[in-house]
Amino acid sequence: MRLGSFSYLVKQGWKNMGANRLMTLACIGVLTACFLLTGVAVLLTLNVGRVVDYLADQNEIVVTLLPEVEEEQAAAIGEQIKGVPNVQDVVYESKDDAFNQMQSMLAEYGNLLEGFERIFPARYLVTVQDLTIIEDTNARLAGIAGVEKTYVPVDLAGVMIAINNAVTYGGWGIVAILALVSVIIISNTIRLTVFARRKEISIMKYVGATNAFIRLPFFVEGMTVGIIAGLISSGIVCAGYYFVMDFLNGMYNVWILKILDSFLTLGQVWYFIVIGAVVAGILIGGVGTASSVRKHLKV
Amino acid sequence: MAKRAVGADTPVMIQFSNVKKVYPGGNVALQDVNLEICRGEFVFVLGHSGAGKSTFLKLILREEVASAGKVVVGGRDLSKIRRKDIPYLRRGLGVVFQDFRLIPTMTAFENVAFAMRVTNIPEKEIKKRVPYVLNLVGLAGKARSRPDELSGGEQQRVALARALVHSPPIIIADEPTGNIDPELSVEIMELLRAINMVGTTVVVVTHEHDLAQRFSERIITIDHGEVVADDVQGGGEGL
Repeated sequence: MRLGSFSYLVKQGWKNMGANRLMTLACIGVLTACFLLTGVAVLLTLNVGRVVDYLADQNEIVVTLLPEVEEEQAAAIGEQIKGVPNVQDVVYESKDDAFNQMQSMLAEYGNLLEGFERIFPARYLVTVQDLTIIEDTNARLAGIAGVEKTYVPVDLAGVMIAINNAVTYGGWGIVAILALVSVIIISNTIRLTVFARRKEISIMKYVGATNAFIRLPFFVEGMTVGIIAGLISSGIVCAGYYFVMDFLNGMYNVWILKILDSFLTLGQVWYFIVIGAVVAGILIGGVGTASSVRKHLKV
Repeated sequence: MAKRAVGADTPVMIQFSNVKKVYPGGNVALQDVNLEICRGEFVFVLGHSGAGKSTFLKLILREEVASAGKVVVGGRDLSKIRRKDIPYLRRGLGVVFQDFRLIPTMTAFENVAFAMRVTNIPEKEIKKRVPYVLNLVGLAGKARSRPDELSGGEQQRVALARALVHSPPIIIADEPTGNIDPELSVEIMELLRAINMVGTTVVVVTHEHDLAQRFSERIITIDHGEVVADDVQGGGEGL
């Protein structure tokens, strides 16, 4: 195809958008609504996932050492703990640290602890990578020489695993369903626009136009509609996200602020939202239109 | 096989050999059709509604494929032609329809130019050729009008200009006067005659017996899917 013909067909695609402006607006509207729903679902899923991860990170195994274990030996045990599979992070609290913590908890009654400086055992606070195998990790930690006892919040781990699974499967499942529904609605809308112009397509065929020649303007039209819908929907999602985050940040609730720390910031996600919506728009608009035209090309 | 008394060495442009067309469901639209149309002929294909005229046209345009027999157009056997080559076959055929089939969003100029654009003809050539052809059909002043701004006769002239723009060896007109006034019908037929005079093969499909009698040199009559008559006339009404 000559460059002149190509640019003519691209212009023809844009011209058709104006000539069929009601259908063009309907397509942009439907596509924007679908992308909005999908975009919100993606953001919710991503953020809930991050909150769950954050809460899971707070989930730790407390490994107390035998009272007779001294600092040097404790350091060696620390190395062994780090070597246990699935251990992510290890924080050491010496006997002195434990004593000081207890004393500060008792506040003005702290002097009651005088003379008991060495009775509090040193301990390690261990966070794990994978909560699902926390019991196995705990068993390995308990087996290390010098360890007196381990405390593992198995029930809490179970809850976290359940939430994480729900977010992973449920959230992305909803996103997938929304995306599928979007594709079906859009392809039906596109089919309507193509059906309205089936006569035009048959005329093109009778004067000897090749299928590629007929498809290209529709393809350009579909892609342009997709890009416009992608930009509008991602703009609304980004603006909405900005305002929701701003509102939540203004609540001055310690727990909300703590959880908000784990949320994705707009700066981290805006390009992901925009590029994702525009690429999806190009694919759904372009491919959807071109494939809807195919049925009417058999003349 | 019916053939007009043109010179023995005149090339055959359209050939039907034992052609049968049965649609899904068992409806026999054409059967045992044998005919040849040579270069430079002006032929009317006459028949009532449902006689098989449309199927005859669809077979020539390769919109349908014969169930049996052979259809050859411009030397190409249409039962063997590949789907991707069909557009190239149609570029050699100028087609005029009863309902004009103009693209409503395009002006007269653009409708004619479109037929050139599909063949990748440079813009410079299009700008030269389209006004020339519009002038030939008497529409030089209507180039910027859209179909809904033109009368039926004018729309049919645009369709004719579009069919002529490539100077195709064959022009096929499907009920070209069906949607226009009788006096305008004569004008359209005279235009087709003039096109024929320069050597183009013209095939007009119609149910208007009087029109056929008045203009044609040869009338092929189809009834119930069969060619029942193939008469060579005295040369029709002159211009």
